[in-house]
Amino acid sequence: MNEGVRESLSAFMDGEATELEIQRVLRDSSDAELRATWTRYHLTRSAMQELHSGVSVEGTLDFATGVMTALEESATDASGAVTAPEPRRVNGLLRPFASLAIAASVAGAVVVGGQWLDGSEAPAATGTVASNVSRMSSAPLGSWGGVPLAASIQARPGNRAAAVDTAAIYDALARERLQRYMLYNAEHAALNSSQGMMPYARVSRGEKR
Amino acid sequence: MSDRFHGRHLGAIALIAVTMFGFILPVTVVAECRSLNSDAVALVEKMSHSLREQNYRGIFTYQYGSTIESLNIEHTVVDGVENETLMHLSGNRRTVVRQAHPLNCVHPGHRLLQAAGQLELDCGVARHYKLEITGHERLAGRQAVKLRISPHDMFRYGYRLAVDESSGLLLKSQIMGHDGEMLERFEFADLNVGAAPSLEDLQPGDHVAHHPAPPPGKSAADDGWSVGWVPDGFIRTANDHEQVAQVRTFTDGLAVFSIFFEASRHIPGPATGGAGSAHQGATTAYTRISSIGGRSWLITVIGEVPVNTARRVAESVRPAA
Repeated sequence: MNEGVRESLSAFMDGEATELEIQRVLRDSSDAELRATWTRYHLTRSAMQELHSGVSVEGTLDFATGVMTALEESATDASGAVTAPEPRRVNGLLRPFASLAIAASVAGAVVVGGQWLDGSEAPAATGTVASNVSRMSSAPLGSWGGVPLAASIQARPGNRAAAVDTAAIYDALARERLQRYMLYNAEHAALNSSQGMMPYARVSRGEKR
Repeated sequence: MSDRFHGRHLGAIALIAVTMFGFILPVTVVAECRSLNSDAVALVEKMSHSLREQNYRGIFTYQYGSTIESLNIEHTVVDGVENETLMHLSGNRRTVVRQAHPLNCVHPGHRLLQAAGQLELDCGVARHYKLEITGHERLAGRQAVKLRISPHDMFRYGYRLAVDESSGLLLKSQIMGHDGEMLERFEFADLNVGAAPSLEDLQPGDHVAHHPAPPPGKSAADDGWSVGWVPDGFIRTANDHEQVAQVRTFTDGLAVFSIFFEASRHIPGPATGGAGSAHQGATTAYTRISSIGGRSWLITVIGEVPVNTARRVAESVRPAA
């Protein structure tokens, strides 16, 4: 994949590029790998937004479980199918469970992305994935609202690209914990360091206990 | 040639020795504390008292990366108890309030700050950091003394502080990475020392500052887990619970880190052992999934320490003996 396009996707991930810009890039490309990468980024970003919005403690707690489940699937399943629901479809009542589902699907999508990036087995070789790719490309990217994104994958352990993305999932977990526990550590820093109440400034999201 | 050189060399050594002798003599009493600068130690001790005992109000900024936040702080002491309010001036209005904190309630971190230079108290922060006065600067319209605090090992960060000459209040605090990079900075833009407390200062806040009970003695039950390693000089400040996690918190007088231990509902399997990290300013978070006593646990270390320190601490967590 073009390095510049990958950078655009990363920028989107970091909130530095608009969805419109990404749509333009994607429209101009018929690269299946690029679309897979975008799918992966999109899901990860959505999952992060869910986590940061503090939907529910239970839900975010399940993030780790979801990660682990997905990792185990990738380690043991020869042909596990992972279904990735579009996060925006999830209604309020199901939100506590949404994070788990999304986390698991992010991990799944990452495995998919890893496989595709690896290029050792072209996803187009399996009919299911090919049809999903074509569904993605025919749907307007900005309005996937009601289209569940499904992908059947051939997951194998020991894939280097997938391993890199697994590390990214754990980093995301650490980031989520950082936000959740920052206030606690700031309380102690305020009493035990030379800075008085200043460490509370680190709690930028204004969490309340 | 050789003799001439030798002679000059000896002369120089003698000169240096005389100079050093004259310089060191006044502080030999406490010179046993490593790399000690008595003026720096006195400044740190004054700072740790001023922070709590003075009345002040001001505006300071907190900066990391390209992010900058401004905050208002008010600190008053009435009848031996501290009241303080911190308010975010940028973004959503958020306040943190601490009320009725007795001045005689001294936490472990401040004890370590105040013990710098006291050999009988293990030199406090001076045992693990080199303290030096590096000059003067003007901050928030006031004269400040610059203090450089460099760690003796790789387990902690360095600090650049600026302390108000007259009041001893901290005007600037930077935490520095090992490569000299500034990780975050607190800096006063305006400070009014000696401001009288006003009644409206004591508004209820969004968050009432937590005041943890001192940690139980070493014999206290460790709830099934123990921390095998922390860098030398870190002492425990609290055993606590936070949401669903058990927590242990440690400080060396400058840095603070907490270890969170929470059950993972995951069934132990071949994938255990994954880990990740994240940063915000000088704060590191390191999380790993570990199998202890046949169950799966999520162990997270959060604090102002390098990621390698956090990782080593997290990896040292074991089932309690």
